[in-house]
Formats: sequence, C-alpha cells, structure tokens
Amino acid sequence: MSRCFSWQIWLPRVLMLAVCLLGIQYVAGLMLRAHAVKTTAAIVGTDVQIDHARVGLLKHEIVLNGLRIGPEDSAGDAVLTADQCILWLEPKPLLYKQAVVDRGRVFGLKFAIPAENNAAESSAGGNAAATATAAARLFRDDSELVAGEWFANVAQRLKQDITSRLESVQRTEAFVNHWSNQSTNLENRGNEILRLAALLQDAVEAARSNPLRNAKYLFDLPDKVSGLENDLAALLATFEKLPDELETERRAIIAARRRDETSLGKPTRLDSVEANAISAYLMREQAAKPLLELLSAIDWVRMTIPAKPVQHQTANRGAELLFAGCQRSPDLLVRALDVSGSARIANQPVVIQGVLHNFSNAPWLGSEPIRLRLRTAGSAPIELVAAIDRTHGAVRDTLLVDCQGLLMPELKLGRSEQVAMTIAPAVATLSMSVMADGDKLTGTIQIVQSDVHIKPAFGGDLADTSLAAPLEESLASIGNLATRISIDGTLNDPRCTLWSNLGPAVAEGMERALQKAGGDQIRLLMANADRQVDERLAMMERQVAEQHARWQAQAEKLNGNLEKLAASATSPHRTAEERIGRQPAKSSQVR
Amino acid sequence: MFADLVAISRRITSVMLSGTAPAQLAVGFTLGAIIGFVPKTNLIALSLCVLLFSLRCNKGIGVATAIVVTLTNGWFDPFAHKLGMIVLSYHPLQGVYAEALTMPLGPWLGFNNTVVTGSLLIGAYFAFPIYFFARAFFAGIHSVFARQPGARLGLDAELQPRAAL
Repeated sequence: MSRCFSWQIWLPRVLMLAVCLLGIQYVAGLMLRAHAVKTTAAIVGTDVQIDHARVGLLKHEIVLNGLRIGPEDSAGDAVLTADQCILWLEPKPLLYKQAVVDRGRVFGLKFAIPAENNAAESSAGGNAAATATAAARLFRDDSELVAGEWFANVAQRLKQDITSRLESVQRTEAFVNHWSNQSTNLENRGNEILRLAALLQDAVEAARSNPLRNAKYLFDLPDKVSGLENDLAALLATFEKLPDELETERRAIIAARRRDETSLGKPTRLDSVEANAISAYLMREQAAKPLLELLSAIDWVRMTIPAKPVQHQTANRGAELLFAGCQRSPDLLVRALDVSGSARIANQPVVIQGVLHNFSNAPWLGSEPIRLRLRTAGSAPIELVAAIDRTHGAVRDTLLVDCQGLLMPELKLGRSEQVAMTIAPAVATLSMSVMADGDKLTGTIQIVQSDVHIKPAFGGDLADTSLAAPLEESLASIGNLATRISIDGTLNDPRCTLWSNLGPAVAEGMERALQKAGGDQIRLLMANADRQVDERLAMMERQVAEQHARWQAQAEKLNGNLEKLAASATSPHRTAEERIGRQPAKSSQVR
Repeated sequence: MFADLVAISRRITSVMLSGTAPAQLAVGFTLGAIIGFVPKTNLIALSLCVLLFSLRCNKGIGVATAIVVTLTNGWFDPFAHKLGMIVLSYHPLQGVYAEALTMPLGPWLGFNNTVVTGSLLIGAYFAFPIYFFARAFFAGIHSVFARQPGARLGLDAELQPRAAL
C-alpha cells in the first residue's frame, strides 16, 4: 500500500495522464479546425480560414483564432475577419451528439468591402450601365423619362427665339414690307411720270419742227402737261403723307410693344410634371445599388439559412432514421454569441457590439428565430435588429435599422449630361424596415438629411442657361432632405417606389429659376426686338426722307420743264396764226 | 533517443504480430472484417476497435483486414442499407430504439443509420462462418509452415523428441 504513495509510482502516471490529455487536446484542436472550416464553408458558401483552433477540456471551451471568411483581396483582407472566437460548450448535450454553445464571444470582428468593389465604385461610369439596368429593374415606371423630357422641354423653351413672334416686330415687318411695296409703286409711278414727261418733251420737239401738222397736238399740249403736273403733284402729295403714315405706324408699333411687354411679363407656366418623376430622375440610380445589395443580402441569408434540410450530393452513407418519440434537434446551437469589432460605414470607422441569439445549423428545428442585434458606437450610432425565422415552416426575414446622426458622404445625383445635383456631406437619419415573408417583400427605407446644401449643375442644352444660380438659391431654402423608398413585390420581382421632397423642391426651384431666367430672357428679347424695330423704322424713315427729297428735286425739275413746255406751247405767235388763219409760206406762189 | 524509437517500434510490432495461433489469427481476421464493414464515424466501430485491441488475438491481421474490407465496403452498402432499413423499421422495436437513441451517448452509437445497423448485422451474421473458415485456413497454413524440430536435419517424425510433439 505504501508503495502506491511512492512518488516513483504516481508521478510517471500523472505525467503520462497529463501528456495524454495534452495530446488529446492537440488532436482535438486539429480535428476541430478542419471540421469548423468545412462546416462554416458549407454554411456560408465561401472560403473560410482558421489560423489556429484549441479545445479546452477543463473549461469545455473552443477557441478559434484568426478567423477569415470570404475571398481575400489583393491586400490580404477578407470580407469578414475575427481575431478570436471563444465558444463555451454545454457538456451534457455533447453526450447526445449536440454542440450547444451557451455563450460565446467574438473579438476583433472586422468587415471589409473588397477593394475591387471600391475600384468599381470609383471608376466613374464603369458600372453605369449595370446600375441603370438595376434601376430599371427595381423602379418600373417611366417617370425618369418623363422628367428627362421635361428638362429637355425647359431647355428648348429657354433656347427658342420668340422675337419674330412679338406683335411689335410682326407689325414692323408688315409695315416695312407694305412700305417697300408702296415705295416701289411710287418709284414706278414717278418713273412713269418722268418717262411720260420725256416722251412729251420729244413729242413737243417733234411737233415744233412741224407746227402746222401738229397744231392739234400742240393745242392739246397744255392739257397733257397739266395732267402730268397733276400726277406729279399727287405723287409728291403721297410722298409727303408718308412721314405721317410712318408716325402713325410708329405709334401703333409702340402700342404693340407695350402689349408685348405685358404678355411676356406674365409668369411663364411650365408644363406640369409629377414631382416624383424628378425625384426618380435624380435619385433612382443612386438608390438602386444599395437596394440591390440589400436584396442580395436577403438572398444570401435565404441560401445560407435554408428553411428545410438541403440534400447534399455527397450524402452520408445510409439514412439517419428518427424513431417514434424522438425529437430531432440541431447538431449545433449557439444560444448567445457576443460580437465586438469594427467596420467602416459611410467611410466612417465605427465600433460594433452586438449579440447573436439562437443560431443553429438546422434552424427549422428550433422554436425561436435567429436574432441578431448590433449596435455601433462612435460618430454613427446605428442599431440593427435582424430576425431570421425558419421555425414551424415559416420563412420570414426581418431587418430593422435605425441610425441617428449618420454622416453621409457627398452624393452626386442625376445625370451630368442634363441635370445633376451634388449634395454636400450632411448628417442623416436612416430608418429601415424590410421584411421578406416567404417570397413576399415589403419594406420602407427612409433617410432624412438635415442642413443639406444642394448644388445643381446643368449640362447639354441646359449648360449655357442661367438656371443654376437661381435654382441653387431656391434649393438653399430646403432645410431637410427626406427620401422614402417603399419596397414591395417579391424577391424575384421586387418593385420599389421612390419619394423625396427633392423632386418638388427642384420643380419649384426650376419654376422660380425659369421665371428669373425667363425675365432676363424677356428683357433681352424685348431689347433685341426694340432695337430691331427701331432700326427698321429708322431705316425706313431715312429711306422715306431720301425718296421724298429725291422726288421733290426731280419734281421741281420736271415742273420747270413742264412749265417751259407749257410756255412754249402757248406762244403768242401760235395764237396769232390760229386767229388769223393759216398764212402762206414766203416761198408759196399763193403769196 | 533512436534506441527508444526502435524500442517502441519493436513493441508495437510485437503487439501487432503476437497471437499467431490459428484461432487468434481467425479472431483478428473476423473482427477486422466486421470493422471494415461498419462505417467508422460512430461508437460501434470504435468499440469494435477497442475489442480488437483488447482481445488476445492477432491485431495486425485485424487491422489489415479492416483496411482491405473498408476499401470494398461500397459494394455492400445498398444491401446493408436495405437490411438496416428493414430492421430499424420493425415496429415492435421502435420504443427500444427510441429509448436507446435518447440515452446518453446513444446518438454517438449511430445505430439509427441504416448502413451502420445493416453492416453490423451482416458482420455479426457472417462472423462465425468467417471465423470458421479463417481458422481452418490459418490452421492449414500453420501446419504447412509450422516449425518441426528435426525436419531441418531430415529426421523422421518417430525420431523426433517427444517433447516436440
């Protein structure tokens, strides 16, 4: 008996037992690591790496170090990494081939967005077509086209020249045309008078050479001269009336100009456009990407946590039967897992703390849904509550996100080739409630950005308009920018509706900007029209004066000639001959 | 150090090769065949292994037989599955099965797997025939290759010492 208490007996045995336990622990760690990598990769469907695994037999704990889930990027960062994961197992369920984690802790959890995604985001237009396709898939209405056409209509309205449609200009043009015809007619009449006067001059010269034969002609000459003088006087009278007509017409044109000013001064009414169409135009593509990521996340959750056992192609040998009275239970159950780590949300580092409840590898066997509650600390306090319910045949995923004071980065909305808005970084409140019940999808996402500064930018046809400054001034009055996205439809056929107060604000701002820009344009138009009218009238006045002066001079000259003609035709010699009869020539034999 | 390793190797080798009597060889062969039949990820297979190393039999031939039969057991799985399904579906025993399954370590036994139960039953059913024929076979081999004193010197059996018999 005393031999048993000898240290030479018990010490080697104790050491042997310790070495065996350490060996078992080491081998169990290796087996656990291999099993955990295989199981986790099967669950999440991506690469999983674990640097080191350890099994604590005395504390019945499992320690996984250097956990990396997801493909590594060029910098060696996986999507999800954790420095250490400690799981405390309940010993009794191990007898029943179950691993029940009563409590666990994950330290140093880090979320990282793969660098290629960032690169894709940063490359402007790199995935623009894909985003546009995604937006068209989610938002199935033509409001974006309607808004695009509306902006094009605004551009066309600002670009068009309505000077020719002004009454004053039209009246001036009509008067100028009328005067041009009238001037031509007067010129023709004057020329005709000159021609007749020349003909008369020639005829008189000819008649004088043979007065006897043309006595009758010479006798009628005063009447003809008188007729020409009358025509000339009428022509001159017409010319003299022209300044009065011009003045009358000028007054009429001035009255028309006033009417033009009155009519153009009325507020320009744009075609009514649905404000949501402008919101959709500006925000749809920006909203489509996170929405698609959200839907992809729901799809990933559905695939990762199925509602019924998945039949693997490499199934175990035989079939596991469940006898009557036996209750199937999950092989792995995590009752509570404390999570602490960090992530970058909206380019801000945040500290994450949360708890994962009731996670199991067979959630359809559980009685309570899987719940995840995450809370971030720091500059962006976010609270996320997710419930994944697969119990009793239900397939229901719920996601609630509440964030107060999220600093949103600079956002670029709209299209640079037409209308774009740049929203400066602002503090936002995010509220999200999304539920996928079976295939049915419902939810609301609401973002309210406070103290926003919106800077509009125009391109294309609107680039050289003066809308930007008044629109920016008008948009400066927006205190809070609220955006709400309603989600419905199904997971395969999601439909989203976007509402924002940015659309009505932009519509109203465009209206005001258009008023202001329209006023400037009207002033410019009126000035151009006035200048055009004045130039035309001045030119016409000058032409009238020149024509009048020219014909006045010609009329005086012609009158002089006609008076000479008339005087020559009414000489006393001729009168004596007529009175005394015809006198024979000196060479006549009658004489 | 090297001597220690050699000593351990010699010890393992002696353990694996000990028990060279035909009966011990047949027991090892039979247990190896049953272990080979049964899927290994359960306590039944582990118990059979413990049994193999606990009994006074030839462990080497048991391990070798288990490896060889394991490589060929895919051929027997369909039949083992059908047999296990029939046995495990036997209604009067459902309560017993359920009781056994809900006992501590019950699920580790894996007997609710059709192939495990079927292959175990096949092994148990064929255990005695395997043992019988294996023993006869090893006895024959033993009689051929058994060391007979004096045979090396060309002496007749009658001239051999009595003690050698």
